[in-house]
Parts: sequence; C-alpha cells; structure tokens
Amino acid sequence: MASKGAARVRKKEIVKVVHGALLRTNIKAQMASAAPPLGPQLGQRGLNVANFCKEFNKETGHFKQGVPLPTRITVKPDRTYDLEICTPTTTWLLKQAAGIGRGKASKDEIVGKLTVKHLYEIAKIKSRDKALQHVPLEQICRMLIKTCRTLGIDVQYHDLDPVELKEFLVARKEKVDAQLKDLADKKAAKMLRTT
Amino acid sequence: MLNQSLRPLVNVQVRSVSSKYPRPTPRHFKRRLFEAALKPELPPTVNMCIPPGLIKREHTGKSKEYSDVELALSNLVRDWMVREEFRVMAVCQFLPVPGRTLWFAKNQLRSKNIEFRSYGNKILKKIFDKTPMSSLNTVLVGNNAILLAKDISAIKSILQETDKLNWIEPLVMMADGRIVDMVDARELAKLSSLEDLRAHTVQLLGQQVAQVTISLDTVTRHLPSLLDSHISTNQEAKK
Repeated sequence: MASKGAARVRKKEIVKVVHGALLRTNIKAQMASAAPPLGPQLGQRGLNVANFCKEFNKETGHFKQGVPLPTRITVKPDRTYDLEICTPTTTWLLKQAAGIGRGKASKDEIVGKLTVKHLYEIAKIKSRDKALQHVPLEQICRMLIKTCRTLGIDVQYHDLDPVELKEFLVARKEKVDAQLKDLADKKAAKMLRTT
Repeated sequence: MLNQSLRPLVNVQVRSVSSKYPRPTPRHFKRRLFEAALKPELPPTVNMCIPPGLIKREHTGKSKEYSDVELALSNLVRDWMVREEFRVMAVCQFLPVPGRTLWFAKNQLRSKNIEFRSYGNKILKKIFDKTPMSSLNTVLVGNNAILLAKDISAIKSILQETDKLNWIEPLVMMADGRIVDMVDARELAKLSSLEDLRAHTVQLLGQQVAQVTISLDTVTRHLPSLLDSHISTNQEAKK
C-alpha cells in the first residue's frame, strides 16, 4: 500500500530541453500571436510573447498581411533578443510570381512557368537578406532555379506567351481543384471510418 | 533415440514475455544444450586469415580510385580556377564549425575578394595532379580547405582574416606558381605594399649597373693622364 502511494507521489521524470540561442521560424507578417506554434516556442525560451508579437507586428507593418517571413531570433541569456526579419520566403515569392497556390504533388508535374527575368527580380529582392549579402547574384539565381525545380515550376529563357500561359493556368486550376477535392474526400472518408 | 535423449533437456518452460524483457546472459546451461542440439547442420565454413597489411593495401587501393563524378568535379574545379585567374592560394586546416557560422564567414571572405572552397582532399589531390601544385599534397591531411584570391596583395588580407577565425589555420600559401611558407608570408604581410619590394629590387639592380659604368669610366678617365705621365717620363729620360 505504501509502495503504491509512493508510486503515485513519484513525479514524472522531466527532461529539461536545452534550447539553443537561435530560433528560426517563419512568421506571417502582422499576424504574430501567442497561439501555437509561435507562443510556446518563444515561451520555452523565456521571452515575453506579448511584447514580441507587438514588436514583430509593428516591424512588419510595411508588408502585406499574411506574407510568410523567415525570422531569426537570437535569445540572449538575460532574456532579451535580437530580431532579424528576412525577406519573404523564396517559395512564396516564386508561387506569387507564377500565379499559383500549390506546388507539385507528383514527380515530373509542371505547376507553373517563369522566365529568367522573374528570377532575376526575385534574386534582387533576396539579396537584401543578411545571409545573402556578398553572395553573387548568379549564385542566388542558381539557388532559385533549384527551388523552382522542387516546386515544379518550369523556368524558361524566352518571354512567356500570355495566351498560352492563360490556357495553361486554366488547365492547371482545374487539375488543382480536382486534387483538392480528392484530398477533401479522403479526409472525410477517414473521419467517417469507424474501424 | 534422439528424442529420448533430448527429453530431459527440452523441458524448458516456454514463457510468453515481451521481447523487451532482458534475457539472462549467459543462458541457462539447459537452454544452451537445447540450442546446441537443435542447431541446424551447415557445411563447415573455412575461416580465411588475411594479414592486416593486405586489407589495408586493398582499402587504400580502392580509396585511390576515382569515380566518374569525382573526376568530373575535379575537372570542373580546375577549369574554374584557371578561368577565374586566381593568383594566390592558401591551403588551410579546416576545423569543424557550425554551418551558419561557416556561411557568414564565407560571405565575409568574399567581401574581401577571397574565395573559400572545401572539396575534400581526394578531389584537391586530383585537381593539383600534374601541376606544380602537386607538391602541396603533403599538407593535405585531415580536413582541409583552400582560400583563393585574384590579387597578389591578398596574402595580407588572407592572413588578417584567418587570424580572426579560430577554425581555419593557413598551412602554406602559393603565389604565382611559387610556394610561400607561412613565415615568409607573414614577412610579406608586414610590408605596406608589394610595390615596395619591386622598387627595392629595381633600386638594387640600378645600383649594380651604375657601379659598372663608374668603374669602366674611371679606367678611361685615368688612361690619358697615365699616358701623359708615361710620355713625360720618357722625354725626361731622353734629355
């Protein structure tokens, strides 16, 4: 009996996670809130979440609401922090430029089309990042081409034909709608499954 | 017959316990006998003893072979080095460092016109193969990286930058096809400009030329006076 009581009293072994000084997250512009996942991430590192959200939302006032911004937060031992807000994520920029909302779902699927001019402009935006300072523009463009490949965006040298692009985007939209419908059906079937 | 002889041995209780339950080691002697009796009969295996040196030789022989990808990479890097016309190269010891620190340091070095590259010693040896740089193979031990620069005065900036970073240590430098050891490189780095050295050399050479002309001139200048004195002494003797 006594042993049972002792077992009940015994606390769970708490494994203390030692967090590093650097926190890398993507936060949507003007939409930082104390809700998960951001709130707990900051809270575990001992930061004042409300103040952080306020500062972040103020700093990102010049961005369109909801733009995903890679953020690097360096937490100091005295619980102060350095906030580094980078330019919007490469995938977001590429998807916006291509006019698509969804990357490729299967191998060898082409979801959008871009020209090297688009990439050059995006590279110029990305080169403002702290991490990409002094990196040649050519190298940034090469990185962008790699990202395009993972997204399923076709990069071409010549200018896009507007008529052809419109046809492509319409066809693509139908395909994406079908994909999303399929996914929703699968999800519904999973919810209804009893076994 | 076999069944009868095994019967006392097979009397091992079969317990259905979790596989995570630690089995007693060594196993009970009954269990060991049981397992020995039920061991499948396999053809005898012949254990070959290979001398350790032979294994090592095979291993090193294999490690020296280059795959197509490695050859292509080494060709690519060699072509790039030739195309970019690098004049200074420093082979450095490269210690482990967090990726983020390395990335920022690379960018910092690039801002000083120094290119940081680390391909592994196997590739580097292939790049340096059949070039004057092949004599640098002796320093390619462990983890190495190379710093490249287009300007000869970058020796100074390479030393300045590597002194700031504790995870990179230059071992030897190469400037215009000439190997410069670290002592000499530090001496060169002390100079305000390498133009000083050139001026000094020109001055030394100029001094030599001037000395030669002066010494030749003195003979020609002295010759008439000598002849005059000789004639005058001859005339006095005749009188």
